[in-house]
Amino acid sequence: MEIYRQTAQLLDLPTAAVLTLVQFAAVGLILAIHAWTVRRRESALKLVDAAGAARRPRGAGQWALLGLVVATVAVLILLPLGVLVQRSFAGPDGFGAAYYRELTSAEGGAFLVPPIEAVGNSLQYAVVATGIAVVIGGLAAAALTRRAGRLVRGFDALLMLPLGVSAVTVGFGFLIALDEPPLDLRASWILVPLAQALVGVPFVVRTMLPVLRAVDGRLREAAAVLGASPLRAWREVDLPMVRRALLIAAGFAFEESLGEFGATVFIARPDNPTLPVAVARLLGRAGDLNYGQAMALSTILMVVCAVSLLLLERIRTDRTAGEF
Amino acid sequence: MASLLSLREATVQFGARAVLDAVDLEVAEHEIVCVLGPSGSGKSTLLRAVAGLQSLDAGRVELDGRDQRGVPAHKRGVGLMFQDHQLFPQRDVGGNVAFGLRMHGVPRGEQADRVAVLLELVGLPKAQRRAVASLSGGEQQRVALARALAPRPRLLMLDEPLGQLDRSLRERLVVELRELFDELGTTVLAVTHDQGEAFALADRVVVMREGRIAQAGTPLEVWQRPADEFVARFLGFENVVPATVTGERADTAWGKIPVPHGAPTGRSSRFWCGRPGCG
Repeated sequence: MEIYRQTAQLLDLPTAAVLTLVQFAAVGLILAIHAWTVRRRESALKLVDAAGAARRPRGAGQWALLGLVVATVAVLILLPLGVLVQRSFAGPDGFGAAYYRELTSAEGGAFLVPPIEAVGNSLQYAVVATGIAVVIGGLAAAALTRRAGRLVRGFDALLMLPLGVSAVTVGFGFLIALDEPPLDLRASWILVPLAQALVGVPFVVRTMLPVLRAVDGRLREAAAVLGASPLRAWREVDLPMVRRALLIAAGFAFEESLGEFGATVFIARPDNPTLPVAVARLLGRAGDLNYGQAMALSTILMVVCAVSLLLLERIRTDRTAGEF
Repeated sequence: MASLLSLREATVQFGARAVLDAVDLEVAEHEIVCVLGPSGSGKSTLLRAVAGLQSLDAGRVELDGRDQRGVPAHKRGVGLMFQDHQLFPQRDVGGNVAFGLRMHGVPRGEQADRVAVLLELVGLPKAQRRAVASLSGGEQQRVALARALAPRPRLLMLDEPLGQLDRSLRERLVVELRELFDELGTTVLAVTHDQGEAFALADRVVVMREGRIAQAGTPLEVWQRPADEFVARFLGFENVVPATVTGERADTAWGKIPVPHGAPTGRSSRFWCGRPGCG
């Protein structure tokens, strides 16, 4: 957060850069230790369907534990969100959608465009970022499935880096690295989805890797002997088995992109804010109206996230039930 | 008879170790050949090399007289039934058997007909819709066989075809397999560590040891005249002693024993005896 403050408010780039490097070193060290401990425990997992693993809690102890978890979820997640929703409807002249109506007008606001446009921006960025993250993360996971040498393991740790060093570092890096030809992307819209995809890639890799590792290479050989070319064998054997993981990974990347703030705030252009950035900007300005709009926009962000999650959940259970 | 498959000095190295060491082997059309040997003798590698799943470090694999170097597995037109079947878990029985037909672009209707015929043939009629996971070991083996037979491979290879099944099932299936292959006229190259299986199935037996062929011949020849002490012991002859053969008699630690005609004479000869009365 200090990096963000130094850059955004004081524009003290050298200090921010030094802080970034310190963070880099710390995270790199932790990732190295993590890779070292994980290496010895890695093996192909047999995946069990959730329905097969689920069972009712038994005994007072398990019920108590369940109650505790539910209570924690209620207090820490549902309560704040609920209050947010309730306040967003408590307009200046009593209960109503006044703040929501205000979102559609550009006049006197914090932006050049009506804040509501952030919804469209966010969704478009999320779709593109998901595509990039799934392709890069999927390919990376496929590469990591092959027999791992020292180099490949290093690559593995490198992919985890964006997750550890926090999105702020990614955004900051993009801001100062991609501003010179031939890679001058500051003015391009692709910059935002690129940064968001980078933060999403670790999720995709971590979701895909265990499933890809669990696909027996000899199944592919069986397909080859029966006349399937390598590409066909991949499509016929690997794809059906990893499709569910692929959808979960895409869901993660999509949600991650929708809610991404740390990197986006550096690089999103004022006329194209995403939802979280718009919320933050509204909060950064004084006045009841801005505050109310921020709450209304947060509620919209919540709804968009929930709807896209539910849609993904549907595709997942419809098409691929019982494949593992 | 024309050779369908021939290996010429086929060699595969894993590091410094030769898993296949200059192996020469011929399989004629409609012949059933069993490769017999202890685990680690290179049998499976031999099959993988023929199928194109394992590249050779030296020598050649020829099918129908054509060198197969650089021909990928999916274009060799051979069938391979894996030791642990490797059925596709996300497809049902019909989908598994039809897989090879689909890869070869056989029309859908024809696929269905052929799947029905094959399932009938392996004793699982009307099993098309069953899930692979619901099959017993013996049934999985039958499905794997039907799947391998479906695209009519010019050579069918079996890796420990009955390896994971229990004794009584194995004895029944080996007879069924033999009848089936005779009926279809399939050329078969099978690999097993079980001598009973090899002798019941094969026209010709090839015994392998550490990547080399120790002996090849009809089951009777191999059984009656093991080429060396290794083959004899592998076939279950426990009593092997040095002997000096002169004429029709052998001098052994057990005394003088009659030997069949044509046995090599001299001190280095060995004499094996597994059965009462020394065969």
